[in-house]
Amino acid sequence: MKLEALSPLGAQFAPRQIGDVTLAEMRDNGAVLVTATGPLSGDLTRLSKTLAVDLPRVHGATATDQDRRAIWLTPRSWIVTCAHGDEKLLVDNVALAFPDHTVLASPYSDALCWLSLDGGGAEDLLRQGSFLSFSTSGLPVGHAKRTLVAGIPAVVQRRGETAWTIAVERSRAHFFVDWLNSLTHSFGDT
Amino acid sequence: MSGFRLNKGGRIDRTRTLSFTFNGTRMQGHPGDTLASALVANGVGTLARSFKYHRPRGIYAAGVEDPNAMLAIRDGHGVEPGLRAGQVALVDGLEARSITGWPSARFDVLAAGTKLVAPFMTAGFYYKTLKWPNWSWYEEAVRKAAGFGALDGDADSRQREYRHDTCDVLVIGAGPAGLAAVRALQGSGHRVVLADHAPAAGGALRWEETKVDGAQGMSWAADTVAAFQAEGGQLLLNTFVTGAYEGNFFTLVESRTDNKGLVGERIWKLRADQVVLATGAVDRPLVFQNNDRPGTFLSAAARQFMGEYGVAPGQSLGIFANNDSGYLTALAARRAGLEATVIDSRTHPSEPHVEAARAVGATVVTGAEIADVSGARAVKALRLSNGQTIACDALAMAGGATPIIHLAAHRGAKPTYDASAAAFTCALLPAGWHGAGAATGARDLGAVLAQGHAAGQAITASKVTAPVAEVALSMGDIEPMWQARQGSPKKMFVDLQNDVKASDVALAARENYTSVEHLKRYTTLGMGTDQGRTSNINGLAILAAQTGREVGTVGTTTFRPPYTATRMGAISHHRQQDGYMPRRLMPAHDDHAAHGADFEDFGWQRPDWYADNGTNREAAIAVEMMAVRSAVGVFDASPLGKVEVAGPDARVFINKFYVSNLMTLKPGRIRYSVMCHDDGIIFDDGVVACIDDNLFLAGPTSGNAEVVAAWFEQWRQTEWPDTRVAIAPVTSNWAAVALAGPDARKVLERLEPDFDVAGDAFAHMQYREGTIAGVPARVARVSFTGELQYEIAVPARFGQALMQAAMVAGADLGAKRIGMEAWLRLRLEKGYLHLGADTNGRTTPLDIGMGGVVAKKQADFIGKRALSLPYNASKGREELVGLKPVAGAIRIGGRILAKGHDTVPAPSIGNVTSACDSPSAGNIAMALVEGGSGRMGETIKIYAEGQISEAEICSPVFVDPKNERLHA
Repeated sequence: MKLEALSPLGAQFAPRQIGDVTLAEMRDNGAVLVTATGPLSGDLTRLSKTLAVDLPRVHGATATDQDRRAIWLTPRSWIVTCAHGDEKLLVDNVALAFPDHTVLASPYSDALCWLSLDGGGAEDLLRQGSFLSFSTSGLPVGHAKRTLVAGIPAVVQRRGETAWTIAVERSRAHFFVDWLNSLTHSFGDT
Repeated sequence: MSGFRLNKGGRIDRTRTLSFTFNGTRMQGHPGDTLASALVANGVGTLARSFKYHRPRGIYAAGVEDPNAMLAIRDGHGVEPGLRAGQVALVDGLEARSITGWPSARFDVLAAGTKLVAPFMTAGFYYKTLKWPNWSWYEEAVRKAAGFGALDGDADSRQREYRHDTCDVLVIGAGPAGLAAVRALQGSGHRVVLADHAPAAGGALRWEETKVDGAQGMSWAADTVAAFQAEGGQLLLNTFVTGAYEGNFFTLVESRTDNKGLVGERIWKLRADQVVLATGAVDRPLVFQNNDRPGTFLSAAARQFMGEYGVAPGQSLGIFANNDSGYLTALAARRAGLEATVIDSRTHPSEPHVEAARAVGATVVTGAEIADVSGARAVKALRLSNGQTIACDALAMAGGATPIIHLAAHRGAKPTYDASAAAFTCALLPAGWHGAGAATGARDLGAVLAQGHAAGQAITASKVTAPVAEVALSMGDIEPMWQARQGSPKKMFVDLQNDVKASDVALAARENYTSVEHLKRYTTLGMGTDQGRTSNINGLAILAAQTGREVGTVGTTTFRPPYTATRMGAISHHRQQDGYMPRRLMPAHDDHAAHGADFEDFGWQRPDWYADNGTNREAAIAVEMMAVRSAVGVFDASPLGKVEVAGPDARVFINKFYVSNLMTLKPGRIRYSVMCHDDGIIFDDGVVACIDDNLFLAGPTSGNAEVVAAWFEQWRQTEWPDTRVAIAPVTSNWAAVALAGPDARKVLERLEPDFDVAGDAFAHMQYREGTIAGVPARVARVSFTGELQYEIAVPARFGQALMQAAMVAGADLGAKRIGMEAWLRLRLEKGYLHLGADTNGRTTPLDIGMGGVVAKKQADFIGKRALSLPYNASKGREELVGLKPVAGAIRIGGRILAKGHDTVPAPSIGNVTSACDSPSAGNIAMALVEGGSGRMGETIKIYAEGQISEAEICSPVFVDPKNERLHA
């Protein structure tokens, strides 16, 4: 028996244009949620080695190492994205390195729906749904923040000047895409 | 009325003509007109009837301060039931209609009838009348008579956008003060937003004859704006700043228009470091007999109509003034070729002003007041206090200026009375705010510009020199005249929108409503949509005179957002329709839909029942329930909460939350328990699985999944910060499918688990991890239905496939998809608690039979102390019991009558919390009953849906009381 996998938006969802912005679902993202029981201190290095990516220690910061990206959530929790097949490896490695669960890596590949927004109008779209400052001074390239967009929790990451990744909780993925589609498209002008 | 279009002048585009209709009559205007200016230009006099007395009313002001001109508008983008004519930009094809008066505003049948009862309709009359037998008898008729416009049946089709932004400086008002401020900020590097409600910057420069720095006022304004924008300044026109909130957070509503009308609104939420309040002032009317005749205007509005729109309010303009600005209106009228007569209440007005007026041919009468205005549907003549009668066809009132200080007051700045300006200002502004211009009480352009410049300088040291004004005459001095000495106070209108008269203010004072807040509410002064812009100050000044107090002592009422009427669609932000509560879909949503799921919102979209299982709801539910009792049901349990609690202190930590003892819960075992707040009241229930000694999986209810995770974090961070525990909410990562029924194990076996699922190997209340159909799985043998049941959690991407695989695996066994209603009725048959239905805001674990569990737990837990308090431990509390019918069916919500009562009204000792007609057990119910555990076997009476039934209190377990099915 083989169970067929279905992404949050389903196989029928194809990349689409909203004005000059391309919206696509990133189906191959794997992820683990890393939570620690305390400040870690010296254990942070060991944990970073276990995850094969430096864990950022500052609000908004991300760190990348090949196909691994670590996103800071709180002083003691991160999302680490990876190749989808690596989720179990990371979970097991952390369990091995921290058998008393002072650090826990939870499977998280399916918790979020990852969307890419590429285009000059993407920032304008996002400004319609969130008070987070999306200017480059507020969210520089390479940074990510957890916030509310359209009233739902989201992790927003700026990959480039006009390239964004938004992760929303899986069950709200359809709502979020519908919300993006419903926005009027007066970009650029104020 | 006698308004007409002047041959020249104004900022309208006379080369193009726009057609519109008013009450079905075709009229014309020009681009640049508002509906108000176009109506005046077309000689429209009466366009509305007043709220109470149905008096004829006309255009009164040029903007949102107009208390009269609420009209229904249809433009190319939709319908608005009531907008002020002055806030509607004229477009081709616009349709405007009066919303008061029947059959029309001009000929209103109700006016005659209202005249008869008017003497009885004083302030607060509705507190003293229309009470018997019931106010609702009169309510509809009164509301219809008042006239509020009618909603269009269609949903609002205007576009909405939302913007969130920050800036260094928000300048509110693009009049001369605001423009001087942004000019001073040039080159500062600050990010500046300049907002104004008008379609063009300039403020009063748009209609007053002025020069600034040697250039015409509007040329200077245009140059200033151009320089501002060239530096990256953001200009928001057609934008009201509607509210000021903590942290210099503002809401703005920007109207977006095209040549068909209002396309939509852009709602801003803006945070500013510093603020320049340059919001200007509103001209104030005067209070005298019949001061509400159509053809009566605010003086500044008359100048605006002439100067900005090229519209004359009439051929012969009377100007009643208590300050020098009235003379500016006279000069403007004479420039437009109108006759002008100034009636100055002051005995010794400014000589330069009087001379200037007479020099251009205006008549000036000093030391006189208006005693009456004649002309029911249009101003015809003025009778003065000195006996003179002056014929005119329009009247302008210059009673002073009321600074617009609302936004500062939103932030708690207290208005104080400035006697020299006869106005309230906010002398002490919030931190980071700088006042400038008429908003501070400044009257003359020179002072306005200087203050604007100073505001900019206060923010940044500027090399720019202050702009210099050239005006022929100043706004000058004011001698307040709050109420004319001649004439009947019963015909002197203070608040035109709500028909509040000077006599009403006096009545309020006599009845001891002497606080300005009481005055407002008793008379409704200032409670209309104009928010008292033209009435508040006159009203409280009259109250001051009536009660022997100074105006400043009476004070103002409290200003609250929004500054002006705002569409509900704008306020609701994206929280409309689907956005009100963003819908949550389960991973197998499409599969449910494909099998006829009737979705209901349980926080997530969940199938209530499946059309595949029956032609109607009850039939389907019966099929689903029987499937679980006799074969196997497949239920999507994905929304159930999943919160991992890990770390060396995980066990001790989680034990503090649940009332059951979790210290003895071994790896691979599950325990059911409830969670309380510290008052001992249950707020969640669920199972906890021990994965290993340092890792637990809490299963809160689906509605509380995020709440419980946050609850854990709150206590960890605030009360036990040294606890070595990590909390990971992972609900959405896992889809869960429950298999319930005697054949549940068979289906599970067919799904290829990689672990032993035999009954003795995998007993009830145990937990396993492994794979199902080759994918990672967490399986709990727990039961919500009382049957053999497994809950299989797999990564959410496999949720739909698992659901389908389970149905295929159980097809020959009679497997059915199970909806929420069947699921909840099944647990009722078993006597299991449904949180929120069988618990109310007072239910404790002791009330639901967990007294023994609580007593045995020695360790502390949240709520433990509260449970030991006498109130929570007392006898006679409502306890959860079962009910079976004796006579008549038991219905949910039924009230249980106290002993000895068999009719209503009667004291109640509880209520039916859950009830259903069970295919297995018949009509059954659960209830919270006072002292329920001590009443087993007692017959009680229940009142529900107008009927009395009888039931017997019993155990809530109606199916498998020995739990044989559970442990199969």
